[in-house]
Amino acid sequence: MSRLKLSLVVFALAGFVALGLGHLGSSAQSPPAAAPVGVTAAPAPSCTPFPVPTAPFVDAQLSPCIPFAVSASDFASVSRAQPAFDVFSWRSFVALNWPTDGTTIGQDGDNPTVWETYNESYQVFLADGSAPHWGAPVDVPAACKGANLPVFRMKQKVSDEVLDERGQPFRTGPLIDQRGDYVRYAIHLNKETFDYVLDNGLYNKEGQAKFASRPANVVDLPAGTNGSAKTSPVVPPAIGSIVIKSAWRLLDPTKDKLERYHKSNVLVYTAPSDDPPIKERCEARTVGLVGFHIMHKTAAHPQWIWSTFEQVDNLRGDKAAGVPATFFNAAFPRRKINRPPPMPWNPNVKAPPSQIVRDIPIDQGAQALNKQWQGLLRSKTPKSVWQFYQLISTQWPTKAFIPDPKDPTKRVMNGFGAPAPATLGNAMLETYTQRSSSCIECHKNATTTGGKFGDFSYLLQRAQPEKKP
Amino acid sequence: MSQEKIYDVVIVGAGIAGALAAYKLAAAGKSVLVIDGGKRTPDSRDAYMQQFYLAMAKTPESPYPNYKNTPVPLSLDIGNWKTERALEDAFKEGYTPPGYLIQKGPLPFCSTYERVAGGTTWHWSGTALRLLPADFKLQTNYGRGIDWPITYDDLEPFYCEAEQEIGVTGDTGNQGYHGITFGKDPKDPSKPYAYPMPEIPMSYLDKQVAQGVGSMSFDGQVVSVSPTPQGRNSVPYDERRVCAGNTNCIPICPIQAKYDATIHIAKAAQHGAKIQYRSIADKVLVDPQTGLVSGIHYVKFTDPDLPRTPTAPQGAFKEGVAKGKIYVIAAHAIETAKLLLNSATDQQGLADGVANRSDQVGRNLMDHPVQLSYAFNRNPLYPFRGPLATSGIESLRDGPFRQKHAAFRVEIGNEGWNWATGDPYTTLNALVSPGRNSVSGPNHTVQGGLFGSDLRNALNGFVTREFRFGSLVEQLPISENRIRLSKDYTDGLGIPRPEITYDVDDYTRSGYAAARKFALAVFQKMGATDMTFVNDADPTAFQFTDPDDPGAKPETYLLNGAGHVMGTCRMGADPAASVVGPDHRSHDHKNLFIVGSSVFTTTGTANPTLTIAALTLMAADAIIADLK
Amino acid sequence: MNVGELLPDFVGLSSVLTGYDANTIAPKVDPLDDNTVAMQYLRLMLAKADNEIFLQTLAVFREIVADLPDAWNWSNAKDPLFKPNIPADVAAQVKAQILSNAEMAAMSRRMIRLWYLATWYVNEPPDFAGEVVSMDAYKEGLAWPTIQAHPMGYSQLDFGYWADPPPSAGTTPPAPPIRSGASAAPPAATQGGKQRGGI
Repeated sequence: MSRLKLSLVVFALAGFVALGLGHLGSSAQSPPAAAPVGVTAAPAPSCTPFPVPTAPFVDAQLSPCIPFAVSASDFASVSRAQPAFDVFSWRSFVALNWPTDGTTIGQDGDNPTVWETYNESYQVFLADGSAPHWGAPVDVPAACKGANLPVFRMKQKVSDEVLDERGQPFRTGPLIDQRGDYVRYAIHLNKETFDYVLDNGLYNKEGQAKFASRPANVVDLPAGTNGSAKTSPVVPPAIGSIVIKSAWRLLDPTKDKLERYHKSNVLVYTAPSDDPPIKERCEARTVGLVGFHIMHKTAAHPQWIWSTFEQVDNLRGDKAAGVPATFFNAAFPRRKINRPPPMPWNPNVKAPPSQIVRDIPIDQGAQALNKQWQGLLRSKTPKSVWQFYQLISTQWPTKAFIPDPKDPTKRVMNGFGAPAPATLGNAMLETYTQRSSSCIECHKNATTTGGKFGDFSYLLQRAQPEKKP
Repeated sequence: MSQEKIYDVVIVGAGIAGALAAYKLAAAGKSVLVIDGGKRTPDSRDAYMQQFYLAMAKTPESPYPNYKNTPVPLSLDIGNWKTERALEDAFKEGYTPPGYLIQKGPLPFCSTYERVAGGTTWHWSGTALRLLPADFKLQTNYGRGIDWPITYDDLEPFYCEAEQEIGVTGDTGNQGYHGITFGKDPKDPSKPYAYPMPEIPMSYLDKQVAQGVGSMSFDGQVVSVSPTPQGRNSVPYDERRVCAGNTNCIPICPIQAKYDATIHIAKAAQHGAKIQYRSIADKVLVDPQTGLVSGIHYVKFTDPDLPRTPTAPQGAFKEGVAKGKIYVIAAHAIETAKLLLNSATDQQGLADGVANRSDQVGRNLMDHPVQLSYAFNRNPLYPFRGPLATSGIESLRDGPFRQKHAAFRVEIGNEGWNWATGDPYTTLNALVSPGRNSVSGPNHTVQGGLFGSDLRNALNGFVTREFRFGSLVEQLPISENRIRLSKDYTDGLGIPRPEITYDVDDYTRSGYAAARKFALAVFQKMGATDMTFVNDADPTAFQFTDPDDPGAKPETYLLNGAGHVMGTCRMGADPAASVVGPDHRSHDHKNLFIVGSSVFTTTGTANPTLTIAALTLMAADAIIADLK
Repeated sequence: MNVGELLPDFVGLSSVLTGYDANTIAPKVDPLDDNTVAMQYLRLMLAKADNEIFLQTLAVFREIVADLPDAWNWSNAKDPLFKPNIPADVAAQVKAQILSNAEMAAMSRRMIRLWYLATWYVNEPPDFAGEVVSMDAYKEGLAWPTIQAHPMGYSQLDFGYWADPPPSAGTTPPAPPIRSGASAAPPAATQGGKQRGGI
């Protein structure tokens, strides 16, 4: 059977700079040192539940505390509720990008982040179907063990193997920067998600089938909550399942404005494939973060909360700073916009640059919040790379529950939950379907390998058959 | 004319036959050019979805383009066919029928097709049944029609391959009826063959019908309901999602859980096949010396809605010739025949068109005329949930009765009376309008003027009990059921439009009558109330009198199209009586292959898509062998 | 005219006519924000229906509900979960004061068809001519939940749901009497018949 395998895997090299590639220069321009494997950055003990903010959101503050949930009980309208979710997004962005070394976010420009200590999907759904270990080192593809490459310690791998790991969902096509290079992607999941998969044996096909054989079993990933002191027993605050999808472009240290990107030194790996014919390749590169999805499941929003960010130079650049757009070239106004490159798609071959515009503008509320948070980052840490990221929007279910038809005193999850905004796309991650893309409506179709409800996560269908020793 | 590259293979048409051929040939390292008349399909199907949502009549064609240069037949044209016919006769000069097909009767051809990459698989139901072994030997077994030059066993490995490519759900354990056999697992010959995906669950409605049918016999056959193998995902497959039961396979699956041929167009392109859009092939050129096809003449246009008139801007149309070592025509049954007929020249042997020394091109046009019977069940069945059809009754697809009347399969619809009456719209409107209003002729009328909870309860009470059978009746090859080139009318490019003469013979009419009788028998057994209404004045009405019943009066039936356009270039061993041989090669031109349902020798009763795919994959092997 | 001022009356009357609670057909927290389906229908009625009769219909309705406690009033509704909440006497009054008048009844029927089918028909009673109001409206057509299904082409359910009756099956009302009669008006020609053309 033909299976498109644009396997684009990126490995990080710790100690990359020390190994002779020191031209990356100052700390603001060089990728941050890798965090130790398997570090879980738990919220600091002082983290408190996230109150519903009220305009004008004066509570913007840089904090390592990942917000647990949005308490949404009494919103008057969607437009009045939206800022609560957008602030949740910015707080999540800052906390997830918080340094793992005890410093403040962006104080040295760039920094290693909490979320990069999470495990990637390939570390959870192993090729042989065996049980994963949180933070365990991973076998490097043979192509990456070439004579000219040093032995290295794994930090992360950006892979692109099945369904949405291919970067753009459902074969809608790759995204190409102005130098003709393919954008690469990674998916990370937090310890809460990992533990649920492990504890329920969902990391291989047989485990998923066994789980599903009990009719009452439905995949139900952990949900975040602000907790409640009023109930008995008291419900403590908790972080829910967090899944992060990131998009990266290859940087040229001599040409790109490295001080405007969160960076990583990695091995860019293209897995081989017969159908279509693609050759295996592995290459050491510095990559910069251009797109960033945060998906967080919470009890009040079982359709999850979907936050999405982009690097600010993606589509417009910054004229004042002399920075051209990365995915748009104003010198070619007649280029067809938002169109995938011609087939065949092969990441080993340079492709015509994509000409990308944002189909749906960032709304005024998010724009104002972006100014506020970017300003805060800039004022506290002038060199911070994080000031060069912007929130696109946050999608959330406006009507998460309906009364249970069988027992109106109870409530059940309400399908898509009437998501707001109705569509939301990241120009780096849903480039060609921005106009119609709805995170929740698409991810509601996510299933296990057996076609059972996958709790809005396509990760579960990556599970492989268990290989008997 | 511009000088073109010489490809290994030039394919006309990017539907399922062209797409699968292009994919298999490109994957085998052959250079492939596909010419298609449609515009490049949108990057996201949401453009089509929007057109569907906003269409008043949600016909199979409603989401898709209908351009002046590549017009398509429309379901809504069929009701007007007699009027069009009369107007044509009255105003011979200066009148152009709005419908693309020029219907000459005596009955209208009721099926339609798309002219866009992906073809009519955009709105196939996903039903992926194999033909029966007996379907290949109709003449031998029952003295009817003619035999195929290949057998079920010849095609069986390619059915397996097609099921893998399309992604078919099913359980071989309940599909081995009427002599259907399954070979070995292609990946592991020590194991029996299994469908690539598990069976899609039967709907609640199916199960209630199955229970109602219980154990009964008809025409000497024991009747049972069985789940249908389907080209839609029951588990993640080929990087596509599982079916979410949108109940919209026709006209469009919103999430591509159902296979369509754009998938193999993309796969072919990933192997380097070139797809040339907005290009209509209008002539197949033949080298007078060798008798081989020497090129495909095409017209490429910038705007598919801009007719080719003397005032059209320069550069809006470009003619060219696509050249290859081998040529494959995969333009669907009507367009393929039209192209071959339109290629007639005064060269020797080409007076009636290319590949037409047998005079069979355009003849033996067939469909599966669909007998619709619909009823109210006593208890709610909850239609409008799940794929459009998840089960059927396959028991009457074969039997000794085929000596006398056509076989049929019964599709059990999951969409109430949507096809038959346009529900839930019709019932809602009838319940709202004042007075007593009809939903199904005089057979079912409702008291209108309702509002509030009365309206809710009435709509629910009626529609949740609706169900329908659609019996796909076998049709035999008939020489005079044919397409010709219209002498009077052309499309926007000046190419003659297809003119159709079509009728349904007594073998099929008799099968139709049996299908109706069968539906009534099941309804009665279930305690359901038949609500089928037949208007004698309907432009699709035809009569049949049961010859075995001396007291029988003529009964009227309504013709419906299945969208299964078959025949027109039939496959056979005898060059004098068929267009292509068993390897799909033209009897007349060694480097010309014709693929798709146009080659079907007879129709059987299986929805044709899976057989089209299997035959095409078989033909691709012959082409690859030729190119070695 | 401030369209928004008419909204409570429009939604209130729509609720009585459709049999659906106001919070269901016009939830206050709606992703469409200021272009809710209710607003789309209201604007469409103002643009296409006879304004004099339409406004008169709303005015009569306003009179009917003027003395009702605020708890019923849509604009004061607090419960985000729907409860059938239409006082029987309001429905009776609507029947007596609005549906008894031929012109206002026709206006009401237009509203019902909009809410159930998301379709604006040129004529009342309808023939073929008309338009689907919007994609959002199509997805929220009340005909579909009424038959315990989903709009064709827009399912929010999971694979295999169709194998079981809907969770709300217990609420299905008893069968209405099925009657036939040759004297009935012909089907109101809408989206029916001959159109599938393929299976």
